[in-house]
Amino acid sequence: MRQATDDHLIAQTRQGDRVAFGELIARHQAQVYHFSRRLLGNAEGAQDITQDVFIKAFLALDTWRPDAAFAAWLLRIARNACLDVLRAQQRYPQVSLEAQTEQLVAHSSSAEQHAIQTQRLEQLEEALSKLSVEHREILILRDIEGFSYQEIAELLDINTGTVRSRLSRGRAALIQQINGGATND
Amino acid sequence: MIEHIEKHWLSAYLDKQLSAVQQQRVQEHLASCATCRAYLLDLQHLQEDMQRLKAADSAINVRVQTLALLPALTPSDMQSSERYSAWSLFEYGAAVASVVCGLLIGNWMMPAEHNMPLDLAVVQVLGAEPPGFLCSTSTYCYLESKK
Repeated sequence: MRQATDDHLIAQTRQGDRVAFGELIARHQAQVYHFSRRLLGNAEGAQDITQDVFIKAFLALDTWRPDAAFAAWLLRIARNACLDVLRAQQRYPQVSLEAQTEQLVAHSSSAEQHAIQTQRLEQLEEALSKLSVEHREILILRDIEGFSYQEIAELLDINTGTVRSRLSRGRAALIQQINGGATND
Repeated sequence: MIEHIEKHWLSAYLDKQLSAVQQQRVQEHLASCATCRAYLLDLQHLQEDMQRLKAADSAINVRVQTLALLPALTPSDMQSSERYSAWSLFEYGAAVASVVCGLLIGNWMMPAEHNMPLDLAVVQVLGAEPPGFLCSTSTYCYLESKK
């Protein structure tokens, strides 16, 4: 089961194999959850969205085509769900990620390094949460999730030239935010 | 005065998204421009830190809850049930034809109304206020017929 590809698991799910779909959830849940958490700025809401994403994906599994990466398809569903929530809220709440950054530096060699890195990553998460949704989502997709320009273009329905320019503006805004300046973002 | 490379070029350079010629041009500029070198370094540090965030992402488990919430039908079951419940092209055509026939028969059976005088005066226009608003005094609330 662990060696099976996403395509194979999807085919099994279409035949009614719930265990196969459970394996797909296990593979992609963390990515969907953390993408949603960062985009939404809310850990609890992100968990609800993660469940919704997999339910929607299950119901729409017949519309998925193998030419699109399953992970990208899931994140597209997650993005739409997050944008719906954000539109309803009409605000972009900040996120507190102390617990996560604490885990990150647990293996640092010294206490001093640990403290410095914790602080830096906390600042980074906070700065990221203050950016516009447009900049935040593209930075998450590229620099955190590691999608290619082409994959991002397909996921966001924009061309690769726009990906390039938007990514550049997002990075500039993030650097400015980290350096203590409120941006026009 | 040094003319700097545009920021989106440096961002794309970081991601190896430039052509060989563009990449060469950026490298030549970086060799002589400390400002752009510093900005590129900022971008590199930012990207490294973002990747550390990814590495720090905690585990989550929604598998059991999600599977419990899934409907009883499988996607393939749903597709087949939708197939049976969906109307075929023939059924749509028959429905449209029925409506058209009904309209034609109705039009044939009903006599046409020609130039019926519209007595607008019996309908007293009460203005923009709701009707109840004007009925606080009962004598004001009536429809005056045309004399």
